Amino acid sequence: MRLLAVLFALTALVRAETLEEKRDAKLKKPFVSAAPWILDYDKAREAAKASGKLVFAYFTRSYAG
Amino acid sequence: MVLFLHVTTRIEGEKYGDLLSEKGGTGFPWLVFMNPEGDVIAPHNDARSVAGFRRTLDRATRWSAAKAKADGGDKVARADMLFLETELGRMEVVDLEDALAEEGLEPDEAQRKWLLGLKANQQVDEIMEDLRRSRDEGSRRRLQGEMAGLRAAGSIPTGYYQRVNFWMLIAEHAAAGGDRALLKEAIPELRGFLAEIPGLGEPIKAFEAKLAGLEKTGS
Repeated sequence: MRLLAVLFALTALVRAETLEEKRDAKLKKPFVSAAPWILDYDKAREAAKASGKLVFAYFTRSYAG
Repeated sequence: MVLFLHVTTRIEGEKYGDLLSEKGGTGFPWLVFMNPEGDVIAPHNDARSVAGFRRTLDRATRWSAAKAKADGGDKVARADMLFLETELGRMEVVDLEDALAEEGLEPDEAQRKWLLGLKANQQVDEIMEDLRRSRDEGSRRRLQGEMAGLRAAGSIPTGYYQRVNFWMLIAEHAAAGGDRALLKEAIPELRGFLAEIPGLGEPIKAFEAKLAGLEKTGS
């Protein structure tokens, strides 16, 4: 039983993060909260149209690593 | 400007999962300025600093303003638009010249100077491409000399990274050849980039030490 518990703990440690977890971890990075980023492309374009401003787009990814 | 952060997650069914490639990006991170319709106006090819982003934003804003005037038939604005597209890396210099000729747009004096700067940018890029491909010291020395040759011919680049590379190779050429005057010219130019590229600190110190040595020996 003890061996099983140890194996289970180890498995939990090495379990690969899901894509959702990686996305959530990315969105928790300090740079995201440091500026008023809009995460939705449609909403960003709406905001740009409403304000007459350009969109500064930063493309990144969360699925790697 | 509106700040838009797009995170490609590869989660099944994610909205706009291919937006990077649709907009012409090929790798991460990728920074661009778009108009409200989502058309890419300006990929960010300048320094990744506040000043660098401001320079790209300025070019993108000027392009948008020029386009609005050009759409109304303003030929000077149309020429400015083409120049800005070249500066933004959306057009090659040869295509700019062809477009100006085809549309009967005669560059004014400011635009002629602009064209010289853009040509110099291209020449610097070509030298740097050769440098990346070359492996031996002899080739490096030759390319440093070519860069110094551009300066001697008055071909001074206007692009941010082109200027950094230009003055760095010229400083290397001057240091290797013991050219005090040229080194004295190159060092302050490189110092101008230090705030945005702190990594230049060590090479600049080395060039300054070399200059001090040359001045001591009266070379």
